[in-house]
Amino acid sequence: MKFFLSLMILCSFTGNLYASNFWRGSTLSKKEVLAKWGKTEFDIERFKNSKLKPRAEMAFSLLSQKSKYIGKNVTDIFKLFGPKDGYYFSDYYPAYMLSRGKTNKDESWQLVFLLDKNQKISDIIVHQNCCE
Amino acid sequence: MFIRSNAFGDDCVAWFNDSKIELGQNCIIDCASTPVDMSTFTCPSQCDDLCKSKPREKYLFKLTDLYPGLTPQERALASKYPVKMLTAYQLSWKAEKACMSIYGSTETGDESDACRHYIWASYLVNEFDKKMAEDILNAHEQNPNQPQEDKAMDLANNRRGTSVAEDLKRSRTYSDSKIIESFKIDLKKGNLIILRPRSKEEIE
Repeated sequence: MKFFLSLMILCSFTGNLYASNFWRGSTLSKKEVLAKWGKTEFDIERFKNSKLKPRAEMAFSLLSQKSKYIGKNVTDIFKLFGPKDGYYFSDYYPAYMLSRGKTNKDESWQLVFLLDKNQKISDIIVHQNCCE
Repeated sequence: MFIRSNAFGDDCVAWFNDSKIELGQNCIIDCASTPVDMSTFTCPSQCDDLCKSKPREKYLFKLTDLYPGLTPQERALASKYPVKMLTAYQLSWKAEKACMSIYGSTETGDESDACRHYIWASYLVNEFDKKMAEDILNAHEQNPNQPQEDKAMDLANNRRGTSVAEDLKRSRTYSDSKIIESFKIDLKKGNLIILRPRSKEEIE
């Protein structure tokens, strides 16, 4: 009985995690990213050495070439992009802030590298890191 | 008791045998907490097999594999204490929400990070005993990709949150609002570790 209870709890736990709204929160489509921050050519060194606005301006270009990063190991992403400054669910996910609101009513956005169970990149999203 | 190499990689069997972990009740947690190197970093995910876990524990351990954000130690705890770990997970969300209401976003290495750890540690101490809270908090910090200085920051802020919650619990004055208040006081007094503070205008 206890086992089935545990099982049901874990199933609902993982089920919740995989329900896209719960798991991902709000995200921006590529089109929305373009409208919000424009289109500056992605330069990995520049991305690594800058914060917020310059990064946000390169987000569209990065999303356009995300196939280059999908399948890479998470450690490669940290090597390429540097230490994360954003946060997405746990310390495992590479997450990089693109914009930051001053209060919890303002929008904050981050670039997140989603992982599969083998710690490889499965997708790149622009995720809302905030708000009420 | 030693395990012969057959279904597992030789490296993992040697790693498990060298660690001298005893089969039995705590095997899966001890196994998941054993240090790894470049050749053995995948071994903790085989702890259920290496420990010859019972079907229930084995199944729950495998099920947690669906969630890539858990450390092997968290997976081991979840297979042993699924209800407690689910509660702990819900409390982490509650802590994140509380800190987001102060800082607007939840980040890494800054005050919002310190807040998340301090408040979550406090909630865990209030919900469980200190030992269980520390086991969960320490399991959470076993991510091999996390920079050492970030890990040290998290552990220091966890310790502070744990200690404050324990004092409040002992004096029967614990409340969620008191924890937030204590966090703000500790931050102001410089009792917390912040690696990359936000600029003043951002906090005010």
